[in-house]
Amino acid sequence: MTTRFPIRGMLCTLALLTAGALHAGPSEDVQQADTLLRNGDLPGAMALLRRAADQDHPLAMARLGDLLRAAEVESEAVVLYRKSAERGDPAGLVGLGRAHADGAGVPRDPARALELYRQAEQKDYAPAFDALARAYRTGTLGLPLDVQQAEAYQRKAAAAKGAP
Amino acid sequence: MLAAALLTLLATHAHGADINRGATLYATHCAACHGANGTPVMPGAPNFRRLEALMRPDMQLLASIRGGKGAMPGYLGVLRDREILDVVAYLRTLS
Repeated sequence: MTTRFPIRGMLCTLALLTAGALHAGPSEDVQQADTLLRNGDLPGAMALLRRAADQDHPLAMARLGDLLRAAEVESEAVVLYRKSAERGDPAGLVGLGRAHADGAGVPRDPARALELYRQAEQKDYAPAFDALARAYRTGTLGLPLDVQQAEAYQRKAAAAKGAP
Repeated sequence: MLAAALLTLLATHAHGADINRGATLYATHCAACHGANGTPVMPGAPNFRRLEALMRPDMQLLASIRGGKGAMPGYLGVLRDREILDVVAYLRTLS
């Protein structure tokens, strides 16, 4: 009789842990979505990101925007990038900047794109450095063609990616 | 639903990739590390002049470029999937 209670307790703990795993928070959803994406599971990643974005998670919004952009659903991507950028997330700032740079889902506006990249740069965000490196390398967004600046930004991007 | 539509779109596009656009995108996004003609500039980058560097299906290469690999950043959000497949088609002309 007495041995039943520990077993019941263990089962309860297991159930709680399982429930916790099933209802992970939005940050965990984003992490798991990244893993799924690396393994090529696009539908699974999209479902997790959608759930996290619905919970107002700014990085999830930007990541979901990236997936929609990949699928050329530009206008919906921009809505998500904008929401994410309004919350100050650098991934949202870069996503919205890229949309303005390409005129994808918003009017083409290189000056606005550069401004958004600069804001993300202030947050030491590697993709912002990558974007600025490309702009210097190609002499776009109103920047001069400057290979040395491009290389400097590439090094900054590499350093930011290497940062813990 | 969207993901399924995307997969269908990609399967169709794989047969009609735009090599010229791939070359332009390669010059902008890849050449700084992978070299202007596919001979790597950065240590550790694959040599696209060698056939074995690309002996994988397009969809596998797409997943690698999308998600990033080693020192290479992910291009999800930077390039659309259709554009990545254009780059892959161009890469296959280098060897």
